[in-house]
Amino acid sequence: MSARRQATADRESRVRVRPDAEETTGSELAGPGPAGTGPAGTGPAGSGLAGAKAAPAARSVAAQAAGSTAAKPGGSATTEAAGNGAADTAKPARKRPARLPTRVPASQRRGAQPGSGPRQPAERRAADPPATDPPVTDLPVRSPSAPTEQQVTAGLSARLMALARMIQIGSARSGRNGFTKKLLADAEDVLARAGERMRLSSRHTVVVLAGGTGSGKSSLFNRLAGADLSTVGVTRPVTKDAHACVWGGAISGPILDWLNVPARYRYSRASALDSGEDDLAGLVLLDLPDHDSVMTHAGELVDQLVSMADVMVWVLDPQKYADAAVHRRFLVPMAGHSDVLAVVLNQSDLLAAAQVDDCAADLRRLLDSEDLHEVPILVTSAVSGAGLAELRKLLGDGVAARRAAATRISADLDGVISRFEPYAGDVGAPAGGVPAASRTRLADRLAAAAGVSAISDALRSARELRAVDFVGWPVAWFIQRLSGRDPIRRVRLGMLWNDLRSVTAGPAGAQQAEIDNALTDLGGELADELPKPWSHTVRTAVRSRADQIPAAVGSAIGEALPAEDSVVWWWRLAGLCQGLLLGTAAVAVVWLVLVMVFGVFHAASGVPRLLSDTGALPWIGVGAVAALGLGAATASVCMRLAASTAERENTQVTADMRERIAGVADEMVIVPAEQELSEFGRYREEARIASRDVGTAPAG
Amino acid sequence: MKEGQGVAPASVPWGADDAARVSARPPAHARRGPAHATGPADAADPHVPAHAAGPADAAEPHVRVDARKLESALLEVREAVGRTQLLLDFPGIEAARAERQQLISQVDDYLLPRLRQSGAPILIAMVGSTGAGKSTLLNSIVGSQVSATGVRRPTTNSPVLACHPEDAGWFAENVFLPTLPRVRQQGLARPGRDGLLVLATSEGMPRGIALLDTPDIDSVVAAHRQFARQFLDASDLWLFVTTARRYADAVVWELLKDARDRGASLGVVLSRVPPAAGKQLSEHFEAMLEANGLGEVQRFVIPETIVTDAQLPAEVSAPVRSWLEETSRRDERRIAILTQTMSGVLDSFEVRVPALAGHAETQLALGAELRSAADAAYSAALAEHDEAIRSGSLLRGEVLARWQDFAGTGDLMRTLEVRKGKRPSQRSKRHAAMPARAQALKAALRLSVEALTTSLADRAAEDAMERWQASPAGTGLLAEARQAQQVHSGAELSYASLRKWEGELRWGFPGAQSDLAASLPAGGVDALSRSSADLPRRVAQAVAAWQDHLLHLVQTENVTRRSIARIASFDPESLALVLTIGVLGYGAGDVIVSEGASAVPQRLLTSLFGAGLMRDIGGQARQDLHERIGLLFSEEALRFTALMDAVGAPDEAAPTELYQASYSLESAR
Repeated sequence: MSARRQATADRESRVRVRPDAEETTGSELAGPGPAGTGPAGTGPAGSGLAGAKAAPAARSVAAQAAGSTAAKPGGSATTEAAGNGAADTAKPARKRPARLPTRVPASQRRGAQPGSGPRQPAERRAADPPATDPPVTDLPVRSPSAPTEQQVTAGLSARLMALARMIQIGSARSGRNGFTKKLLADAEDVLARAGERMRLSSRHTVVVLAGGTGSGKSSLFNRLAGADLSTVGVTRPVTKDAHACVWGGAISGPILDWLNVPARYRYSRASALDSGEDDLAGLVLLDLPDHDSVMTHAGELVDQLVSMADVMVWVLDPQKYADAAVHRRFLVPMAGHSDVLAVVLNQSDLLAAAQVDDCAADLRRLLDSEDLHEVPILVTSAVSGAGLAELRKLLGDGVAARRAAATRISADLDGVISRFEPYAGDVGAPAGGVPAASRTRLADRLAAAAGVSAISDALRSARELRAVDFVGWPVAWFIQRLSGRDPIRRVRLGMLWNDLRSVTAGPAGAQQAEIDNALTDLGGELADELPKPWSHTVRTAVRSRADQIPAAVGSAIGEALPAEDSVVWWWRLAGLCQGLLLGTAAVAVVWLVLVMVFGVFHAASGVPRLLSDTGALPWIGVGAVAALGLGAATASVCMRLAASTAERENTQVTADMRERIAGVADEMVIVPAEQELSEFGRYREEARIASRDVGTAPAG
Repeated sequence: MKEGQGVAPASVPWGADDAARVSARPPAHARRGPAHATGPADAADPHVPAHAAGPADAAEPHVRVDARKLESALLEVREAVGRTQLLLDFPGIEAARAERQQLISQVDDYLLPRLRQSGAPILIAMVGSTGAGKSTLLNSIVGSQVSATGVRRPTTNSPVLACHPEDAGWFAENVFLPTLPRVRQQGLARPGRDGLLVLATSEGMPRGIALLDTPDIDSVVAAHRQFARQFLDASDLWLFVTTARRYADAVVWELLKDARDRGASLGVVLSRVPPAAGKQLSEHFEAMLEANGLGEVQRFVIPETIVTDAQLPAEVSAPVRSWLEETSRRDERRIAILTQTMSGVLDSFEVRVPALAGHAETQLALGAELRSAADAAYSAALAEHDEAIRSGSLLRGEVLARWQDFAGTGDLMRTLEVRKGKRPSQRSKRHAAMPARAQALKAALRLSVEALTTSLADRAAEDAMERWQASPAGTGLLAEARQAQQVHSGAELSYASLRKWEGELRWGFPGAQSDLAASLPAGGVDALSRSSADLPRRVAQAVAAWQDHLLHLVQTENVTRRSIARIASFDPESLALVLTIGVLGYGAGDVIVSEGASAVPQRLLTSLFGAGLMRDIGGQARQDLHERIGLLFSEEALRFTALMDAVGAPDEAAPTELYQASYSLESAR
């Protein structure tokens, strides 16, 4: 269905089903909707969504021609809105621009059916009781290209939510190296103010008249209000409290309460609706005290009200238009608020026409130099009435658009979010995890710190030593001992021998210093490119468990090591074999001696032949030598075999240790680091959401 | 605008030549202006009219002061203040620096000239808000358009000094505000160039007074405020101009209270008063003045009228003009004004100079704090190093495994050789090459000590940086260094000269920035928080040298027990390794590694050397390592203190000199 046809169909259907749809939307919204749930951001989110969903509800009714069924989808949509928050709302709103025009008649409709029931979203409803909700007549039709209130609100809500999450992320990382406390506090302020403002009446537009003492704020206020409401005087300063005047009959109590305007200074221009001022309906005009006089408490009041206003009108005069007090403190910081800012050069009656032009041109130059190119300058005179019509029209346009509140909040958001930007760094760059090369390097360095290669060397040596005990040829050892080549015995340090033998391979822990160095280098690799708070927090995360690592690495190695006294089965067999061979050799030697004694020297008689047969002598000798040689050969072969087994075992153990250490590195270093890196990624994502200008771009 | 005006006096040398030249001039001028020669003060003492008691001002008894003594006391103050450098940031430093600058400019621009040239015209500074009508009032008093007027704010960009042609000599460039270039005004007033003093001479001005039309105090042009301040400091009388719309502005009262506090002579003009509300307004204004302790000052009210030819109607400006004329004519009023302003300023010096001395003391403390912060970080690291060596925590990981490999396999024992007669040639051949396991152990030992040192040095650098950043002085110094680094890296060439100049302005002496930049390590400020790049190399050298030292110790000293030495000797390399292990683990009770690992070398060593000897050698070896590492660390710490040295150490004597100068000033009055 093309956009145009869709729009037409909507309009037609609305005519028929309007009462049902209105009823449905109204009742469902009046229920326990999103009002007052969640953080400041969620309320407005709900309201925006509710508004956006009203149109599809109406359409479905038209299609089915059954009014009562509409309640179901609408209702569920609202619940969903409360649950899901605003992020989703922005999308449908953007995707279907064809629906834009349908909202325009909707606002007209309200006027056509006075008192037909509640139509405001729940938040507003809470503020303005339905019973006294008066009709608002004939609001001008907005240009179709302008985003609807709902879209603006939804886009804003998404951004506000993102800001709330950014604050959350930021406040965990505030301090000298992190997010500044001031920025976080300012952001909280913006968030709170935006939440409050969006909960309050969107039918009102708060306009403040601000300026220095004696610039004629009160005179202008009185001229606009058409009555002497605010005292005008010659001695300075005159106005000490904010005065408010409300156009139109809509209930303005809550918003004035929020603005904290004293009850005795609240005025209403409800009756003026008859006198052709209906374009101003919904205007809340505030006359502020000055900000530059000796009355310092007024300055704070002005700061506060200026920050709460939807539209700021700065009243200057020929004498004071270049004062540092107004430019430095207010106008320069407002460079991003051009859309909700106007400057009035009052008291033009004091100057000649040429001088007025000169003055205005100079003011224009000054504002341009402060990046306030868009801000309109109106030349007025409260005394002669010059320029008042233009001012009234400017206010009327602002009021009619009803976008001032959202635009103001959006400008505030832009301001505060731009201050968050440095913390996100270059938004284009990808925020990857820990690269594989870095992981491998870290594992290698931890292994080095634990001395894995040294341990494996020592392990091999220990295995070989132990194998010697079983498969070594005892004769060789005996000979060495006899020949006196064992110096320890000679210096009577025998007990040392045992000590040294007890120094065997085992878990050795790890060098803290080497681990620290490895972590420092890894932190550098990961964090050097990151923007300020993150470079610090990622380093901290990398090091967060540094002091547990040596013990963990030590126990990882301990688990990987084989039991110390494990003996391979064939060692015993070889030992047995060697014993047999040694026994054989010993028997042969004894035999040899006996044969020598009895056979050669005939020391005794009557011995068996076996012991006296000299003919067997060579054979016995050969047998003994063979046994000895075979023993030595077996020992040598077995040692070789043991060495190669140890080597094999060693490779396996080393690999096992490395794997376990890599596991420790993952758990103790990589996981915290990646957690922090993903927080950074999340922050950047939120910053992207918060800074995009969805649906809030002013039409012109 | 050239931005030097505010501060340049700091760099003006106060040599004796200058003083002589400046004070040599007045007689010539005095002859030209005979009006002042008649003043009783001039007659009595050509240098000090201000405090000289004439018969006319008996109401205010003045002690006769010796002008020369006062002048030398002021010069002493000037020098002491000039030598006080407020380099290190602390909360309120900006105010303190401005205060120092103001002290200097008050001495240079006002007190000394006024003392030396007593006959000079009274300088009246017209000061006030933009659009108050200062220029218009000046034109009306002079009687011709000497200062431009208009509706653009701020109107007056360059100050205009109006005086009688015969007085013009007093305001020549080398006498009055020597740093400010000036032009003579020809014909009608044109908007002057910023930063120039326009000298307008007119027959319409009474002799003996000069009116200075200053830029505003409250417009967006910040330089104007600075400018106005300088003129206020240099003038004898303030004519404060405000309007019916502005008189309640906070800025106005800040300035008025300042004038009250320093006891300056003051006149107040309330201009542009709507005729209808004149009485009401002037009463309200008077009440406010009185509430602020300014009830006594001379007041004028100028109604809002038609301005023709940039001048007020004569009858409107007449009261102001006649008051000024009378001031110039009547000596007692002239003297009263001069006395009041000067003694007001001198009175304020009694508080402000000691206050500056307090700041100078703070500077000393801050400097010491910063130095000790860097040192403390590194000495903590050194202590930790010693502890790690002593506690045996190095006997872990690779070292331990290599030791187990070396000792457990019997390689260690094989290096022990029984002395069987003298066979040196054979022995040396046999031990020409160390066993591979011994070499691996030696390398492991070296690496582990290196790693320990490097890691501690890194941590100390971070710690020192943290400590510096924790104090405003450190943060300021680092920020300044960062700036200097940027300037000198050539990243902002076009901006560089300006930044350099500003930096020198702030630090108060030239060359600070380049010194600062030169003192930074290669990577700039950020590199400070890490160890220097070549530290690993130097550590490796130091540790290798230590190992050589141990070997030397074993070789040269007859360390083995005599009973052992008779029958056996060790290969010195291996013995040095055993000694190293013993040094690292000796006496450590809390070694958590596997049993006996640390006990073995100890027992071996005590068997070989004896307990007492072992303690000595162990202590000696540890001490040697301590010294080597300590040297490395103090070199690292130097990188921080080099920054301090580059900006110049706070002058130790400055506070004393300031107190001394303040005392001399008091006694000179």
